[in-house]
Amino acid sequence: MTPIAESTQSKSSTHPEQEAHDRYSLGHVVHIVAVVLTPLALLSVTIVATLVGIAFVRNLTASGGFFVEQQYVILVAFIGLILAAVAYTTSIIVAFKKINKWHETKKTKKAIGATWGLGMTAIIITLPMLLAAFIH
Amino acid sequence: MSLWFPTIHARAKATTKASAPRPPGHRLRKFIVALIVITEILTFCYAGLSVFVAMRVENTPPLPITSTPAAYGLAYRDVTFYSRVDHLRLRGWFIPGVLPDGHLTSQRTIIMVHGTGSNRAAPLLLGLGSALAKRGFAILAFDMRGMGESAPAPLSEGYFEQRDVLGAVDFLRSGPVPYPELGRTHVIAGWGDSMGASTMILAAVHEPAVRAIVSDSGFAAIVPLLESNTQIPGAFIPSVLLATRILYGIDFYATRPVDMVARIAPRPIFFIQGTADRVVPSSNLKVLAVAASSNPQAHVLTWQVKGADHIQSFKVMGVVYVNRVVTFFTQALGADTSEVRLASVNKSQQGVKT
Repeated sequence: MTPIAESTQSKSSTHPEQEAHDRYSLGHVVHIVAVVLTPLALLSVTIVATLVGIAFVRNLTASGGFFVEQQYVILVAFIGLILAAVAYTTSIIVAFKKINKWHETKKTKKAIGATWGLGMTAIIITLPMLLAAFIH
Repeated sequence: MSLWFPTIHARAKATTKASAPRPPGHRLRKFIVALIVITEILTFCYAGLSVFVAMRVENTPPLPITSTPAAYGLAYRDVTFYSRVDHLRLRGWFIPGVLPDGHLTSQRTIIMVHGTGSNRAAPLLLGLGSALAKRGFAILAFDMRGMGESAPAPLSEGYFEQRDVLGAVDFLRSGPVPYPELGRTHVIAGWGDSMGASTMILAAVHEPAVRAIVSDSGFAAIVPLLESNTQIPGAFIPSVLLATRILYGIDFYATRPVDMVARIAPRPIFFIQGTADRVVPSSNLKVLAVAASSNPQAHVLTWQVKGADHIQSFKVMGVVYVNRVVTFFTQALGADTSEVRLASVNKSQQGVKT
């Protein structure tokens, strides 16, 4: 709905050059997707790295007994969680900076598309939790 | 509506408040930022809490050993053996059976497996174990991993504990003989209560040396029980189970004796459960019995004890319980035919660790 409203507005009030800027093209879509997917990709990479780290530490400390193993595994898990949160937040901030730049250069449709896309990533990361809540 | 038409709204605002123009999509951005912040906080708190709960669930403090078979006037020896595959140290008692003539025997040994949050000194285990020993069955009662005096380990409700039962079988078949004068055990059977019963089923599937099984209040699958019996909120169950899988390698979804019990045939299996069981619903007995009977060679016996709560059938039925279990094991394992017998322990020696 937003793009329609936007395009109506822009047609009536912008110059032809800006209109060209503001029109969705394949390049725009690729940019938007890249901006939207970067936080999710970073989050996924951090989570996978944490899982690998946990498996590695579990094997490494298994001979030390359950308590030693658990101590290190929990430590790696919490560090991984914190890193994932930091990575996701940082990438979201970077994405919003990029969106701001698009706004400044009058690439409004692109900026709004990316903003909605980021909103979608927020829904995606809560999806497991929502599913668990609704299933039970 | 302004959220759906953010730029129109923003531009309208910009025209009315010329002094403070806002960039297009300002409101949308505010909304999305708020959404991201809220969902991020919720998600990471959810994940962190799940890890924490998994850690708490897996760390059940072991109960101390407060009694011994000596309290029941039985001879016994402390034994130490190791679980199969991961070689965790397990502690237990070997109690020789007492024949009617007073001689001791280790020909037929029953491995007794306790449930969650218990140990080998639980009144049910010691009470029933001593009754069976006095009826001529040797008893190997041991603490499963993470419980009693055995090595610390996470609680996996049978997923890893089955290795302990397999370790007990290995010990009886090839470990040091607790009573050399009695010789090595000839036939092995298993009895388990609650989680011990399900663990026994899981282990027996992999170990044909276990010739007969009594399953008292065993569960068919653990996840439905965790979902209904735990204090953990329902929305956290899947994430806590996932966390235990990641942190400890425990797959609770695979702990399903119901899927495996048919493979125990043709060895006989005796299911016992109280009708008033509040921990493992009594329907589990039917589910397990039906699954076990699906094998054409199955020998399945069931007994629903009226009014008995979880693992209370022995307490409710007393000697009737012992008689039925003894009859089942005698039919499955045969009578004791040991020729090498230790001289009867004097009454003065009885109850003393030999």
